[in-house]
Amino acid sequence: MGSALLPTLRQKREVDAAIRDTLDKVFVLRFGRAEDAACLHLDDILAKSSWDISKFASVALVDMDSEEIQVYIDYFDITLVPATIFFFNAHHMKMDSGTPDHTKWIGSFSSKQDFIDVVEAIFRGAMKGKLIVSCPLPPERIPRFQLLFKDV
Amino acid sequence: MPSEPAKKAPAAGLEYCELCRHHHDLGRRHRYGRNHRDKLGAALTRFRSKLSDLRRALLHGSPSSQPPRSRLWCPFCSIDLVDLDDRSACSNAIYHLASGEHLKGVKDFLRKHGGGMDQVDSLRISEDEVAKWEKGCKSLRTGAKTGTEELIGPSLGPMKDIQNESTCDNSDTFARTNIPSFSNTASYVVMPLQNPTNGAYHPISTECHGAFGSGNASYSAPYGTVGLPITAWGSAETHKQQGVLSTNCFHGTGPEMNGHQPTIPGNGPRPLISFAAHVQQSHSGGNLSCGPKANVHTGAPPPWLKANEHDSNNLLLRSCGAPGKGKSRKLNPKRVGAAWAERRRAEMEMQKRGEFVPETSDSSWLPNFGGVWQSGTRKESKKDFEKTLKLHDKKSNHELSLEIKPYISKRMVNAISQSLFHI
Repeated sequence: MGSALLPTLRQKREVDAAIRDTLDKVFVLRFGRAEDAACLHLDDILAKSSWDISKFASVALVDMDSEEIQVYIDYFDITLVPATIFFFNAHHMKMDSGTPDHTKWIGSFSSKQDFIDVVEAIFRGAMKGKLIVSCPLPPERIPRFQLLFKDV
Repeated sequence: MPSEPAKKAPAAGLEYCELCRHHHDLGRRHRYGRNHRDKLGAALTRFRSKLSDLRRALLHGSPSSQPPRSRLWCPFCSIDLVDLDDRSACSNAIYHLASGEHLKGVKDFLRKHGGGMDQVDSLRISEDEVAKWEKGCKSLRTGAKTGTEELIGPSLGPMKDIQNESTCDNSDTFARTNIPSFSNTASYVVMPLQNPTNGAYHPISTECHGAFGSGNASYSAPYGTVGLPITAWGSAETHKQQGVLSTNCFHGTGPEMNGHQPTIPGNGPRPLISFAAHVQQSHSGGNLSCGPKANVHTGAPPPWLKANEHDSNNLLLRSCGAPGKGKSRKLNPKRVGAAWAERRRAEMEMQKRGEFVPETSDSSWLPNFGGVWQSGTRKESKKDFEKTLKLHDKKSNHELSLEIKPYISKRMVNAISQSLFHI
């Protein structure tokens, strides 16, 4: 179902086009399922914040159950849901939030402002030429998860 | 133990406090709350400052630090005292503030809101002050009726009355005197400036002249130090002010005044006039429009428009010099993916124009991604992934090419063939 305000992408070419056509703005890509409670909470926050960050970011949702998207799920190594990945000018932006996985944000945000702060930090870092930025949120507001080593 | 009865009076009801601007059901206890007391104190202080300004301007004649007010709201009587600049309206304000109604209003207000009754006098104008003011007005009026007199005094600089270009009959008389600056005799007063300007000069009204010219013995100068009449100081902004000199003229002249002071007291009108004339020259009120100063009355454009023109000119220059400002802001060339963004932007523009753009993306395109277990560069991780992807594809194809067939034993084959043979 996703959000009425945010586009839901189900095909690889749609995702490719979205990533390639978003220029000089942070592109937020949420991988998840509409039925998942955490995804719904995250989608709500993304939808509410999308207008606030529209000047420097755009948001899109990706349905993980779609077949064509599986290549991205493998490429981005998405195992936990929901997972939010950030791009800037088709380049992936990493964020060091103290979690084992710096390539994506796992889970939801505690508030709209947290999400806006994260996107802003990524935008600022990207405009300075940094591919990895530090998370501006305090540790208690960052969801924790266990990441298994790939060969385990 | 039974519960204590409610502290609030059951029949208190909701009341609206105008000072605090909210409803409450505390009854009279609300007046003793900290917020209410603070708001009351602030309201009374505000009114007192406005009243003191008015008092100073109208009665004492000294200009206030703030520009004179055009209206004054009396919170005790809920009356708006308008046009304090105009003498006739000023009188209304003064009479109101000295009236019994205002006194009653003040007392009711303080009684209602809890202020002490000892503050009543500071919130109104006393009858003594009204009497003094009336005397001053009378003296002005009588002084205006008298004819012109020779005005002797030091020659002053050229006088410019920008408001009144027409000269009255007295101008010649004045011109003959040693004070050519009095050639312009406006029927209304151009208020003297408080601060010295570049030789700008304000004429004083014929009333002033007359006042000085007549025997000033009738004047009482309770505030002046030099025996000149105390007149109301109207708004320094307008030229319609019928009031004459203020005591500020006498107080603020500085060295020029000192030179004349010994000659003035008890010497009759002439030295007074000369002193007044000199005072006029030395004063330059910032609020007064005099001489070449542009203002609303002269039709000059307001300073913010001038500033805007100046700014727009500067902006043009700045925009020419710094193309980074405004809409044509250049992004940081060192930002992430800058080169890619420029290329992509060019491609999109070509597509918009309808030109042929070589297809650069195919189904196997993948964005730049730093893997979770990235060991080398992002390109290497992307290549590794593409290799594994190809391997997976090959395996899957190989699996698909194998047909799964059911097992048929030899006995079944023989049985089937025999059945077919019999058929």
